[in-house]
Amino acid sequence: MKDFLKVSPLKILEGSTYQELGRGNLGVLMARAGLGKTSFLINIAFDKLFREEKLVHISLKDVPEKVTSYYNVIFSDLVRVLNIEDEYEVRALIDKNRIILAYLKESFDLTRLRENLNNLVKEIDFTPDTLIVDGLDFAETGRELFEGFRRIAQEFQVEIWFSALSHRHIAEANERGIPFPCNNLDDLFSLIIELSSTPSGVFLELLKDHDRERVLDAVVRLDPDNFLAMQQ
Amino acid sequence: MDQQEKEIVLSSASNDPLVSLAFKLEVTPYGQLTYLRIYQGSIEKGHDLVNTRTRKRIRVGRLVRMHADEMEDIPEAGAGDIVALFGVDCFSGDTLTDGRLNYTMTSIFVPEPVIFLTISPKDNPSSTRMVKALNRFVREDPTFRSQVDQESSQTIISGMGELHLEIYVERMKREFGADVDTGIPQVAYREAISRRAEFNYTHKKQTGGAGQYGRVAGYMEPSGGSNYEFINQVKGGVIPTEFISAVDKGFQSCLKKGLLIGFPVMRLRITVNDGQHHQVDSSERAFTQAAIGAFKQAYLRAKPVILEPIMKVSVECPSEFQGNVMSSINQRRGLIMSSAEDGVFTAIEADVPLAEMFGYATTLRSLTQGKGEFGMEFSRYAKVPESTEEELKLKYKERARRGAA
Repeated sequence: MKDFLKVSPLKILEGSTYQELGRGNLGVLMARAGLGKTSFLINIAFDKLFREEKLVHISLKDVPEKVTSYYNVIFSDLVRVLNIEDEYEVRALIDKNRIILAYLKESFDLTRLRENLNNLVKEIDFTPDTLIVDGLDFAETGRELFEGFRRIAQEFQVEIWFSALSHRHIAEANERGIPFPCNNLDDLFSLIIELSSTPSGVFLELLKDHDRERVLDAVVRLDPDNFLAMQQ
Repeated sequence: MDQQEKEIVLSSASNDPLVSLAFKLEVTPYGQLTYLRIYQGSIEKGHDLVNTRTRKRIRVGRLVRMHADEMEDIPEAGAGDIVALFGVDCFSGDTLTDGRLNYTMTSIFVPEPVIFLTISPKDNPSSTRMVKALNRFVREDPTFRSQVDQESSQTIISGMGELHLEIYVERMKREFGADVDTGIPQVAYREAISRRAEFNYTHKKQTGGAGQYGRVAGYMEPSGGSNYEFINQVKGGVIPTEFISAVDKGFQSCLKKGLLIGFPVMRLRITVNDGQHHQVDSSERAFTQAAIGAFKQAYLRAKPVILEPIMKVSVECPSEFQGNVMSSINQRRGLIMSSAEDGVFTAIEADVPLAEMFGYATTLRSLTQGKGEFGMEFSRYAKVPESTEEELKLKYKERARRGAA
């Protein structure tokens, strides 16, 4: 699956400090409603799965069937775009290395997540490398929860990716240029990426790169049909 | 059916020719009750219906509308109605018309059985009752099958799961008074080749009496989706056109029993691209035999593997037992796909080989203090692990040895 790595949206990290988020760290994608946050997260998931890493997708709003169908739709696009011939084998690899944990009816809390991750590690020998957290409302979530996520990332030695909804009508940003709703949380995140849509296309921009004070001018243009990085 | 199975949109008008579907059969003290949905046209008491599958005419004797377990006799019913008829000889899924149209409704998808067990009547009266019960069940439920194994003369029933068959055995006793002994449930394995292999086989018998001659050449390879495909690439009439279907038939006859462990063969594509015939000695039979020989010649070279049914298992339990349940699935070679919780209960979805699911209800009860439950449905066939493959091959050899002895 080397072909995917050429078009992975994580190409944005090629010029970054470590070229990855790294274990024990949190990363977030910010975008306005409807721009494709879930698609981006799932493309990150495929980036990890195609490297044969283990992944847990945590959904706080959708049932597992819906999450699976998101994966299936995006995977079907990948099969077409990348001419994947051994589709069934790749699908089996994805099923083997991905587990979906859904917390419905506001049942999510960090204690349950920690228990569930412990169950995966101890009971079925599934040690994740990455967690994807989709559906967390950043505007309504306190700082303590993200501090808890950071502890989990360090305890389980995983990297955790989130998506955050930004708003056109809230122009608030901190002195480092990080906009709402991450303006008061940016010290907890190692990578912050912004997804934006302009008349000339859909772009990813790196807003925070670990401890680097001046972020390189890293921008990747995405294909609006499949959210894959367009080859230069 | 007269227009090469062209798709037709029905009008749902009551004055158009009748098209209706028998979707459920039920045994009542008054005989077989057939539930029918009318899609187009109307049914009147005393009129005739035609079963599209058998082309048999049926007289509508009693027409009823069901209200739970109460029946209301009605003189006629129109498009959109669900009604029931008494004394109609048909299967679930049959299309009934008034004879003016030769239409058939799209049949429901019927998966292949994944589990089977042998049954034998405990005494003589039970024997007749068992046959009667099986005939009834096969009509009612297209996923339930019954057959007599020609080699062992045993009756084998097959279906979609352990519980599915248990229910029919229980119904045989309760509704038909047939006491039966059951064997151990067996998994319906399949065989499939894993690589391409060439064949070039000549069937030749030209000594004494009428001769037989046919040569078949080509290759077999795994087919992507379909269970069996036959591709004819013969050029120049080296196998005359009239014998091509005999070649196809020969290969198809080999699918029933694979050479690895004697289970049916699936996902096979046969391409025939060369051959030879004899002006006098070639016949359909000779080419069928040549195809069977060609299959035997190439099959083991095509590295067949054993496939087992994988079930989509869904377990619901209080969240505190999530770890125990996951562990029990993992021990059964299961692959956990997801876990969803709502604060109190957790639903775990997993893909588990059917062979590992026997007795799981008891295990789950003890793991969850009786608070967990599970359901499963057939998902797909997948290759068995090497250790299981060796075990199955040994069992097959042992059976074959005993059969030959």
